[in-house]
Amino acid sequence: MTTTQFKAEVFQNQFLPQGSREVHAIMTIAAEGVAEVSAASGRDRLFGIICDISGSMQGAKIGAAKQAMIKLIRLIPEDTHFFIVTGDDTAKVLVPVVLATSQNKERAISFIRTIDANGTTVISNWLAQALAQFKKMPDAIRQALLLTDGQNDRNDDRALLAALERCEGIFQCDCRGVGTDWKVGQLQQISSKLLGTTDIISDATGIEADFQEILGKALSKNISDVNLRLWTPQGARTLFCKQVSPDIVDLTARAKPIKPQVVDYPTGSWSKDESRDYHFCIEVQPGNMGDEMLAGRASLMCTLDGVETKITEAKILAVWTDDEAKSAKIDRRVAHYTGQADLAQSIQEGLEAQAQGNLEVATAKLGKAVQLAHQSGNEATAKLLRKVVEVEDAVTGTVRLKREVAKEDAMTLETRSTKTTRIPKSAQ
Amino acid sequence: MQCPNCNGSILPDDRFCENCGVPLIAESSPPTACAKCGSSDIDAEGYCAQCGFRNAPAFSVIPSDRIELAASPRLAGVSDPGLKHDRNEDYIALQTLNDDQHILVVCDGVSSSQTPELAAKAAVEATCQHLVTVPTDGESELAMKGAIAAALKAVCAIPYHQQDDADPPSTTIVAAIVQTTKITIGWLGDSRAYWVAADTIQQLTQDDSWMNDMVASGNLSEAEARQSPHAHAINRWLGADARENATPSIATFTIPGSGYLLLCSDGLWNYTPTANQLAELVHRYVAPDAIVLSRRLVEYARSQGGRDNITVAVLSFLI
Repeated sequence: MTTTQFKAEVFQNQFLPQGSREVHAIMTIAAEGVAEVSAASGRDRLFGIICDISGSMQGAKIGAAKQAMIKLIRLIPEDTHFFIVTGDDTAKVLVPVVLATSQNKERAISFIRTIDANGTTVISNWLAQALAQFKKMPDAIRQALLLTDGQNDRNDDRALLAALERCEGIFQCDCRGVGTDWKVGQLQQISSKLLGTTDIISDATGIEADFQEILGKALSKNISDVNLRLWTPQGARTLFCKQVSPDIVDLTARAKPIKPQVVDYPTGSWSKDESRDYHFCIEVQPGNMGDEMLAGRASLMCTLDGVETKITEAKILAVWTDDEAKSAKIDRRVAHYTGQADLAQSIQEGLEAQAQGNLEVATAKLGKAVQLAHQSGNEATAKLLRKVVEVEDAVTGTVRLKREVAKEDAMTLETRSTKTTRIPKSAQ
Repeated sequence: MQCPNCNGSILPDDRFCENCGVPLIAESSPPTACAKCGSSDIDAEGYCAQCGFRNAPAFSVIPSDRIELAASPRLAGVSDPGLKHDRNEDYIALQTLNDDQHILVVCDGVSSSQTPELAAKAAVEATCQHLVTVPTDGESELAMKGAIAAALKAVCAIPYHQQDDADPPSTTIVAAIVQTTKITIGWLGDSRAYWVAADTIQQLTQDDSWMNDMVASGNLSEAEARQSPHAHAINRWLGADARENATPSIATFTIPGSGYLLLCSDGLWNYTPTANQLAELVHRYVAPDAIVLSRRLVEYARSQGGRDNITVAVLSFLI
């Protein structure tokens, strides 16, 4: 078996001035695979493909999607299981769960070739079919990919929420939007609930490379159903818990109470050598001068064959002091990720304002985003911003909105705005 | 009977361990109720499982003497009392004067002397104060000698009792001033400086120790010398009883490329008998922040027993 070791470290300034209640801490968790052997001796894997075949996909899009699916099927290792669900207003199990033998793959490919695009988009039905397939292999590492090009049917909002509730914890799902007619918020709602990512495939020819990457990532996972467990003292309130690297995912509302003072946040599956950072903000009852308090104990819990195991743990502390030199300092990781969250928020608010024609607000928000991206060395986001605004001075955040912005550039910026950089090495 | 802290022998009615000084009364009465909320649910580290308040644990010594310094992401250090001593007799200071000029000082107070913690602190502070006045292109070797002379003066000024069985306040010292790529090191005793690069490690200091003398003079082999109870005895230090013999050794080193300048007390190097083992540790624990690397090295020494105070100072060079 492949064993994975986790290492957790907390970065914070635990010193608080008198009366202060808010404790901030960044926890970095790194999985370090050791003694790796071939995947065959590891756990079962089930990879589900959910593909939009509604009428809007007609033409080049469905052609490209079919080609990409065929290539993807060919890439799946023989020890992995897979299934395919196609969807319009209803969903069809094109290929039920099968082992990826060459014979099964060829059959699946022949089915894919028969796909025609028709009908409307009702995603809740697609998820329900996928869920039934995933339930067949509850002990496998379970990952889906959902591909769509259009907006979900308006009447499906409620059913979609209900479907997501049922799917949560059963499988993880990455979403990919083809073209520019889909809604970023809609796919992000699905991917964040199902612990996946959302991205844009603006050019149909880019589907294949992206599929390969998603499959590669799914296959590298070797530990699933991991929860982040947080103990807090009596009377404390967790103001937020966010994953802040590699991208920002607000987990605050996902807290599941385990017992008094203890909640679990889902983190899904991990691959070896994966590393993520979390930002906790906990409000505690202030102590007296010189008091030391355990403001939080964060541990990573994994359930295997019904047995819960603690894989790593770190402490979040609070110490009240009258030494201002100690309490005034902000930990630089806390500062960095607070800046990255501000950056993502500025972009979202800026693009929203722009869409509503509120150009002054849009200029101010996107200008601030340019400044924050520059300060924090987030070059990937800075580059995407430059497609939307003319940057006059990145240091002060002076920008002009571009007159003509390609819709795909705005959507790319919106979907990727939550990607963060880790703290740069040279930063002082 | 044995002391639960150091395993030294104790008598049934001893109130304190004769060997390590830890109070023995508390053994029968660990804190049973949280001083804050009254809950009886207190974990091994003294944290209340209800309200989180830290109650002073019965035995573990509160590491109030721990010092953590992070002058910049490149320059940082930690001084920790370790697990067996209730007092930190090491001391540390770090200064970044500008991008190209840095000062690192580590002292290890001699346990058999009086108020060794004051000696270490006074020596570190005097040395640092003197070195900050050195101009970027100044004569660093002379400055180092001057700084350590100032440290000696400061240590000698600490009042002490004339006693037969305790020496006047004494400490080791290792100090480094970095000017661009030139490192100048001065030392007395067995606190060390190393240069650690990707593929090499170099000890930049030579311990002023009985063992080194024996080996250098050819009287004993290193293995034989290590066996001796005197193996850890130092023969040069800063203190009122060493005035004649307190001229520091000075060494200079030119930084060849990327790597780490590491200063440490014997609390760390005792657990890395060979330089290569130390290099391995540094590479295993390497982190973008010098403070993280320092913490991890100290944590390693603690995990190996932490019998002595542990002090580590790190300056990283990425060229």
